[in-house]
Amino acid sequence: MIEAVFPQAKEWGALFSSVSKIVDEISVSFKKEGVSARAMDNAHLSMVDFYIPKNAFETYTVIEEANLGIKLDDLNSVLKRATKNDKLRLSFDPSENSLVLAFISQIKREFVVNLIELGSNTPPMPNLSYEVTAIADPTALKEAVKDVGVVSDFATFEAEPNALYIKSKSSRGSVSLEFTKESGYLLDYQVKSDKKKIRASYGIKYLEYITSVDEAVSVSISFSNSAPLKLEYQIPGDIKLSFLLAPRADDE
Amino acid sequence: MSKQKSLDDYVGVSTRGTRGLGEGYAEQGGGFIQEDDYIVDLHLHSRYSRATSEFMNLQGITRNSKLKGLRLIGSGDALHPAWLKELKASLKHVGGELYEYEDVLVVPTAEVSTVFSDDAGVTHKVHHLLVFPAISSAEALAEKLGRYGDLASDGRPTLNVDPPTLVDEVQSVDPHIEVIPAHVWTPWFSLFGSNSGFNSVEECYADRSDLIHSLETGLSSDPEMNWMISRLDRFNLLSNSDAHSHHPWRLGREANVFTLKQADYEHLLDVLVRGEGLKLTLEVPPEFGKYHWTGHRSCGVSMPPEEALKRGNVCPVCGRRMTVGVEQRVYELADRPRGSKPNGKPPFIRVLPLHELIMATTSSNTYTSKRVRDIYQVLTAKYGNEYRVLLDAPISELEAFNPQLARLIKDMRSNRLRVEPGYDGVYGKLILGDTSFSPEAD
Repeated sequence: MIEAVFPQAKEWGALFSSVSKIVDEISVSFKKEGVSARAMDNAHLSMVDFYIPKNAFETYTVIEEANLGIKLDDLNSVLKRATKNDKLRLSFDPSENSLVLAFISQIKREFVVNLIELGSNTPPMPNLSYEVTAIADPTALKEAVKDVGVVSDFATFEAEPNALYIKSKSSRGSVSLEFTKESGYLLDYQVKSDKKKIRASYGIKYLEYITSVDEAVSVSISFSNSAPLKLEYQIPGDIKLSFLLAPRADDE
Repeated sequence: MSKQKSLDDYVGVSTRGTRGLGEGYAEQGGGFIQEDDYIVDLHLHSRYSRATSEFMNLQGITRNSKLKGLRLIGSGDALHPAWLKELKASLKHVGGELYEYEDVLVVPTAEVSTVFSDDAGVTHKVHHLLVFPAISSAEALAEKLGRYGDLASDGRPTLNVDPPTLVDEVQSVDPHIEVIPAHVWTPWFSLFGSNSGFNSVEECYADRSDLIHSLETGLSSDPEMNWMISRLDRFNLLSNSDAHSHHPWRLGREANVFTLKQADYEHLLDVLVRGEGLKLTLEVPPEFGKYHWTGHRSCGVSMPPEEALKRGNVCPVCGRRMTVGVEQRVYELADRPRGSKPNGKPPFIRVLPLHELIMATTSSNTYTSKRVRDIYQVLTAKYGNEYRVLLDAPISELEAFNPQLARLIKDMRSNRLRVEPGYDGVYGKLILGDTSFSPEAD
């Protein structure tokens, strides 16, 4: 049995809206310490991972831990109905194959989302070390990816000691965006390598998917030469949302 | 044009289909098994069982268990008087009702073969794995079971008793002794076996079925095959080696990974009874098992279920009945398509003994050749044990040492090994381009 109340329904909406960019269905694990999920998209190019600790909830009771298979279209249709001041109450009774979502404000609105059988085949997070880590403004990153998409179907992330570049070129032309701490768009920037340049390229379509995160206050961007890109978003309400994206092999 | 990589190359797992952790596997190796986890093989035999190696003594078993990476093993044959005596004399009690020998944890276990007739006069032969909280409880059960068969003649005794009575006897001695149906799909001696088994746990154990919590899936089936049968959802699926020899290509060839909060019997029971701490299982490709397909060994005939059914399970060479393989038997009982995965089931990882892989990359066709032994020793010395090589070693490092082997290990991790399915007692064969290799029979 699960009963939990989250203070801001809209933040759950933002979270699952982002998750649904890369997966249609997900197994969400309700454990005593919090709620989490991790899944790869069907093409196995990207991975999403999120975690909400129990203290992010106003109340959180998990009598029996459970993995709930959720069809994201169904869930998001409901979460979109949340209004600004709604709290979200989640309830699950193991004898019912459904998740009950109630928006609590002046009136209580209760929706029942039927669950699907997915199992809990959670891929482990690979243990990668990153040479570059930058903390950035999520909107700036999202807009940068959109800029690159104007001229190319991939973006190259390139780190120099004092600046992070997102670049690309194609038969249509080229584009280069520079991020520095001085510009205010990088809150932190660390390069743990004495290589002159560290670069890796990623497909633009998936970059657009994984940068479409509303409500995030910051994003940590990590990569190494020709290695997966990791984006870790900090969403209010103590929600941690991460994406991994496989690189293209042009730099090898 | 640049090539798009896949996260499978980094993550080492796949959620594609439901092939557990086996499908897309790791370039970089592992991360699945942590330092604190226990790789566990509960089902093996001592030298007191028939057709076993003389080196299946505590020293031989534990030495190679360590080499394999096993931290907790079953003693095997704990109902046999001579083996019991050795266990009592040699095992050190480490508290919490587990034992230790040479830094390997040991829990008393035994396999028994029950032979009995049902009300219709049909004879059934079913093997059961027993896990004991203490040597004393094995001794006490031996006292009780002596009336059903000769416990001294075989480390895996044959008992003239039906499974419900066996469970009753076990319960009367100690309710904490766990009864686990062994290699449940083997045609001749198992719960669901095509030749002497049943269609459900309930048919076999009757009203004692509630006391059955786990099933051993055996070499010829994997969890994915068992997930096709919804009435098995409540059981924990375990994998063990049923090793008859101490060689690392036998010991722990299938195994379990447990996360035990404390290494004692109470927490082991949490896994066996409730599945708490059953992190994953290590599975050879089911095709590798010697009863995967339906076939007839003496005629060298084997075939997949659909073809066998078309032929009425009759051997096209001699006209006799073929041995119905595990895959066909699973399909008979299945009520879900392959690829279904029930909620909450732990994943599994594909493995093959390192010796098999090394042999496949050398011209050698024996496990004990110097070349094979040398490579095995170098790798296990470098990474600590065999499972670390198989699961954790980065492919880039292995490539520097032996590119062919690195490729094969990567293929294994990616579930891309091709195996000619085993049948009617013949092991499956690893297929490598134009060459194939079959493991030595037990």
